[in-house]
Amino acid sequence: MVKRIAPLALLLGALAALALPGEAHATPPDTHGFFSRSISLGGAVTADVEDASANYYNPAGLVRSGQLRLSIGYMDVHHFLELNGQRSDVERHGALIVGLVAPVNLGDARFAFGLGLHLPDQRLARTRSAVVDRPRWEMYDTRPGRIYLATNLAFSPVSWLTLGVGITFQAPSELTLDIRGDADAFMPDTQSRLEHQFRGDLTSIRYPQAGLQIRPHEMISIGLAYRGSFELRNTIIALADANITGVGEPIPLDFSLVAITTSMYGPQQASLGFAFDPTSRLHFSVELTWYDWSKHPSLIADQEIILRADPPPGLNIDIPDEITSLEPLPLGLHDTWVPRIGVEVGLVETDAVQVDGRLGYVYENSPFPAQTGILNFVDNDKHTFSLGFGLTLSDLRPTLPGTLRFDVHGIYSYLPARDHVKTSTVDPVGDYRSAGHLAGGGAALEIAFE
Amino acid sequence: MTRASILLLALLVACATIGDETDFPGPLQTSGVGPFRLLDEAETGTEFRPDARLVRPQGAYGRAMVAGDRIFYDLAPVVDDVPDRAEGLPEGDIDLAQVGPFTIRRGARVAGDDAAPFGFEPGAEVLAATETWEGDSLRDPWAVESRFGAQLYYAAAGGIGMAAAAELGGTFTKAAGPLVEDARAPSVVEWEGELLLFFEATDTGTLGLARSTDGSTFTVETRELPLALAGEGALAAPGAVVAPSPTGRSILRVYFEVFDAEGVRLVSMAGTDDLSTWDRLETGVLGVLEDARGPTPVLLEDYVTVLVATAPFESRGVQLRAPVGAVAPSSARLAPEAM
Repeated sequence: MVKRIAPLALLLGALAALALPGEAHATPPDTHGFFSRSISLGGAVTADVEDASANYYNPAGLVRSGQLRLSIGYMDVHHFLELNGQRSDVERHGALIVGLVAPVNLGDARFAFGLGLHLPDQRLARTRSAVVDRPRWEMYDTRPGRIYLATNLAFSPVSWLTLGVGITFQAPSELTLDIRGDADAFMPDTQSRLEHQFRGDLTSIRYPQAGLQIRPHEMISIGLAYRGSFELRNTIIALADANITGVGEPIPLDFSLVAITTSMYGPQQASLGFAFDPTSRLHFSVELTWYDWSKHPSLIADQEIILRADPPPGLNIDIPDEITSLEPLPLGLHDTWVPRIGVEVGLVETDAVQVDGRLGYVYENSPFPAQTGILNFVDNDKHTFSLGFGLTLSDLRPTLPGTLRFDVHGIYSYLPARDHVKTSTVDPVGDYRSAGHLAGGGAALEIAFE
Repeated sequence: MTRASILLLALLVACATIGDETDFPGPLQTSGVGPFRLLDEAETGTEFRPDARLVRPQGAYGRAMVAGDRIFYDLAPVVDDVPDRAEGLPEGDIDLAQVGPFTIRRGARVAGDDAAPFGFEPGAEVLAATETWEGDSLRDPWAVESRFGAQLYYAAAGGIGMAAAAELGGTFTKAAGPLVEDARAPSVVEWEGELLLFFEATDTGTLGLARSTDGSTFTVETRELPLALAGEGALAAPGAVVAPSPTGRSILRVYFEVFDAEGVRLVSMAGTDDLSTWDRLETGVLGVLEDARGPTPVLLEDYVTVLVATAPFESRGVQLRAPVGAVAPSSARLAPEAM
């Protein structure tokens, strides 16, 4: 009979578990939008955005108004997502949003600096390994749980053209677990003497974004924005240099695991938007965004595992000749084209007060295919309807030399049912149906100085 | 107005810090591939160990299956003067010299508000060997209720027989047999208007399939379904079930015993949605139970599968077997309303 050594198995199991697959991601604003006004217009603002949400939608808009703008807001989205009619317990996402637009004039040239921050209120960052046979709502489970920080610079060379560039920050990590000492084979709880060290480094990566806005006519704006792709590759290093004791002569054991996992990925994307203002109280905007999801890398860790153990002759220990690494599995994502529509209507307009009503619609077709194989990254198409109102106070001197705008919004997303029919009838999970709703809202306050 | 706006926003932000943490997504399984978890005492209501036993031990059980609120099983009493166990008999096998003839019995689910959801009362005999071709024992019962009425299939010395009744709780009357010769362990399911009879072909150690359009006459389609993996030994004791999936398709699952390439007996399964191509699970589904035999599946609500099988136990020095239950997904708990 083969004798198995419990500590060895436990140690290897624990270390190997660190190298599980990661997550498909983009940024929180990609998922839920950025600031109330832009969200309530369905995100169709690339053509003429000029408030702090330009830090995400189109940095060229930062220089559009020439005003110093300070914005703070909050958003909250609840997920009512189901698999086979059972609630999936995807947690809510709430975040504080802060934005700054700071204009600078150098001679006749107009510049503006911008800063945008999306700060989740439950945690600063979240990374959860994906268990292959546990279906997970890939776009909503952990994707928004990240800080988003963007800094931008915009320039207006002529009155009808604005240009903007910027960078966005994300933080990959490198984690090292180092275990040394003696592990008793038969009395691991009381006779083992193991020490471990854990080291974690959060570094940063940056990726670009750029945009332009053209205003060929006072009623028409055209915008083009580009956001670069990024890939957070988390590195996990696990080292064990231990002796297995309790079986006669100590058995030296060397184990090393280096796993590099894509823990977060954002596709490059480009938006082309048109805005049309037929009257001063009516605003239409449409937009089309391309997401380059097809270049999404595999979420399976690229790992190298080395195990060396030299048991004395005669001791029958089951040590695997080879520890197979996880094979990269293609996700099969495809590019998506996302249309957006927004309408803004001036409901009340006086010298001191302006009230606007807003409507928006977005259709996001899922880049994920139906999960017919071993993977279970669940995602559905999504129809999002948004409604918002804005209250602008203009006559605030001498308290405030500018305007104060208060925006509120609500969103409702409908995810039509999607069937995941497995190719194998003895699949570890089996067929399932995904469906659900999202509902949320938020508010923002902006002070715009003249 | 300004102060009110700022106050409202501050309240929103403050309330936002009341966050909740969710756990990892729970396991989901609609395919019934396991691994299965043994039912516990609260689910079976029996105080007998292991907890997964479904009925009070009364002797040697051959195979048990649950249909509706009833359990059908073959049972043989231990003889009064027990001879020594035959030498060389595989561990876990019942020594037929130590028990009497097997007869088929029918028990009912324990009733009552406090009753365990998967506990059964021992039942009375419903069929015994009476025909020449049957020999002295009837075994491996499989009851099914279809558009053809209630039918109870069984194995006997000469092959597979059938008895019919108006309902599963009614009086069964034997039809002429055998329906299929050189076969045992019948398992019958309704599939696209036909009855499919899966059986163990005793002459080849394989699983076979026969079809019927009336429930009483069967045409053997094959005696060797392509379910064995390379290096595997004999396949035996099929238990079939038609499982609807959440996406609307029907999947035919067959659980069976198999000796793997290392000669270890385990319970595995195969599935199909068209009867022409089969997917075979490469592992066992009942690793939690050593030497499980005679798997028979039961579908419950929410795509939960209970697998009934027999496990060995010893009584007064005699090796016997008793029906036990296991459930998949393992996170599922049986509740009365799920039955």
